[in-house]
Amino acid sequence: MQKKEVIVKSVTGLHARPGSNLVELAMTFSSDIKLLVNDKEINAKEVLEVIMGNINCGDHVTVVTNGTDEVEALNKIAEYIETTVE
Amino acid sequence: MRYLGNKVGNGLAIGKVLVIRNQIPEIKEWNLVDVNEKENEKKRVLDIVKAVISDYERVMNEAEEPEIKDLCGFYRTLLMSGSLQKAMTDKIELEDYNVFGAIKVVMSEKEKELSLIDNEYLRERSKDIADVTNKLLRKGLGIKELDLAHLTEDTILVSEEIAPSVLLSKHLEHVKGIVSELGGKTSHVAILARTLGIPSVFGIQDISNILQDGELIFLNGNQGYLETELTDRDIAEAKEKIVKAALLEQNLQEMIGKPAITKDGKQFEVAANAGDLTELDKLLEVKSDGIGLFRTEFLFLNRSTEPSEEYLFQVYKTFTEKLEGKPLIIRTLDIGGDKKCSYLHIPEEQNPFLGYRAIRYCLDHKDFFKVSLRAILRASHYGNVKIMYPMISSLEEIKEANQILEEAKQELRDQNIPFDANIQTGIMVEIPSVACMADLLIDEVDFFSIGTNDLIQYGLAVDRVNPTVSKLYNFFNPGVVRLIKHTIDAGKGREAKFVGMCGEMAADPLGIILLVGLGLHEFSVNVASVLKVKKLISLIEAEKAEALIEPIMKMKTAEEIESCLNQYAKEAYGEYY
Repeated sequence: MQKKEVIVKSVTGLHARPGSNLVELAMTFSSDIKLLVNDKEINAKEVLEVIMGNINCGDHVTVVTNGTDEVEALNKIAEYIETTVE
Repeated sequence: MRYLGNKVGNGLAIGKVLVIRNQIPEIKEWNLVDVNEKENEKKRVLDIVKAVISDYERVMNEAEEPEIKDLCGFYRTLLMSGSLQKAMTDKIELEDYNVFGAIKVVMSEKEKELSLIDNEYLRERSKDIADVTNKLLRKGLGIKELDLAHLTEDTILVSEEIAPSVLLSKHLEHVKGIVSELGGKTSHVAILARTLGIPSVFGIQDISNILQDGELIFLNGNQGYLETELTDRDIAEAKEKIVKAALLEQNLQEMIGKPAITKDGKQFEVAANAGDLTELDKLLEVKSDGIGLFRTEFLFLNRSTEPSEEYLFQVYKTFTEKLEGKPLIIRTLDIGGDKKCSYLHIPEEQNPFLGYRAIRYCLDHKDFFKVSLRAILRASHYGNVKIMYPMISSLEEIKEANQILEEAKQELRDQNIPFDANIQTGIMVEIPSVACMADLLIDEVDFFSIGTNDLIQYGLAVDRVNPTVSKLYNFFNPGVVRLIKHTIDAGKGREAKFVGMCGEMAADPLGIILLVGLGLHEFSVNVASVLKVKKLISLIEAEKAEALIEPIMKMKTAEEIESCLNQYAKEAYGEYY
């Protein structure tokens, strides 16, 4: 299991396009990917969970990955959340 | 008859009405007839889902527009959801539903979950789910998708609500316009219509029952209205307008990044209005002279708790930095009974436009107001930020707001948090009394921004979305022209002060001539109009426009003023008008 805390940069939060793009990215990995935010656990491969997660700009999100490609998954997902500003 | 709705933009159109009834497939049987068929039924539902996924993938690959790719991508990720597919097969396995029952029940649950959330964006997404549900059912039932390929004439689609899938078609060459009763600016249909450049007006009540198939109508997506019962003359005029607008459109690219300078060398600023983040990229693309009106309401609406200072700061900072030194005028919260914010507890009002809103609420809730002001001040350190107060009706309100601003500044100083100490502050001029006393208020502010939509609404006592009185709403009513002139004159000869306008009048071809003549400094318009306004200004001779003002101020009716401006417009704009 891998774990990293990141801060959401997207000014729209992860409701709209940045949210569904995150899910598309998550789906390219075989590992389980969870987002822990505001006392909630969100499955990063479920687009409705992500966009309904009320994840806003400035929120602290812990990305947790578990599986064969967990290291790469963690890096890519964390990087996405930290660099997407739209 | 003229019907007003919400402008989605994308230009003008004339065409015959085609009323689309939403294709909601009827399900006759929800349950499995033979419970031994469960395994087959489960496989069938997954096959349907897979088939629809590959339909979306095909559109996604064929489409060139990123918005269409995004939308199909969203639908695809939605259907690829493991939990969604499992929920469907579980319905068959555990509750004896057939494929249709399973699809309908599972998708309806998701749709309901989304629609209950107090967030406009997510509510719009719940409609996407309804659209996907119907597509799944049509696929399962073998019903063909709506085919627009057979259209042979210019057509305006009219519907209670257009499903996005209607626009995911390759055969839209005859679709000239879209009219719908429902649907917001953030709906996927609006986004697709914008991408495809189809003129659209949403939000006209009952219009799908009022209009008849085959009826010829004129649609103005930029101003948000449609016209019926067209005479031969109306039709000829509309066609001419469309041709000229298209010609103007073709010549706009050259204005990107260029200043707006009249033929005789007078420069004006043309900034953009922004009210959500999707506009930011477009705005940077046309390289406007900054943002003349940044509506901050979207950051406060659609949530259950008030946004934190940090969150607001991050958003403002992003905008500030992306503008690279061009001005960003941030309007403080303009909220009231018509724009609901559950956590603000503004009571229901009979007349919210004359009620407890905007600065009136903020001055009473100093701590809440200060959070916004601190966020704006902090962002000002990163570029050229100005503050604008909405709904000001008296000098006392300006002083009180500035007093709270000073307190916010002091707090930041005490905490050693940097901000622009010389940040400019201004007010919206949208209440007639303020326009009348502009000369008395100019000393207290750095700028005025005339909000014509409200100024005219309040000044003429006309609700412009009420079709029975909307004809009275007129930019060129001599009373309105006087209010505007008085406001602009108040800023004249005052160094370092300026008067701008952030209303639709600033993008109106005749309005532009009048405003150039009156010496307005800054035009702030919808992103889609920035290049057009720059282009039109470049065709005007300021001296000639100025010479029109004296006679105009003696005219007694809107009609006289309009025809005077029209005459010069023909001369100046030539082939474009």
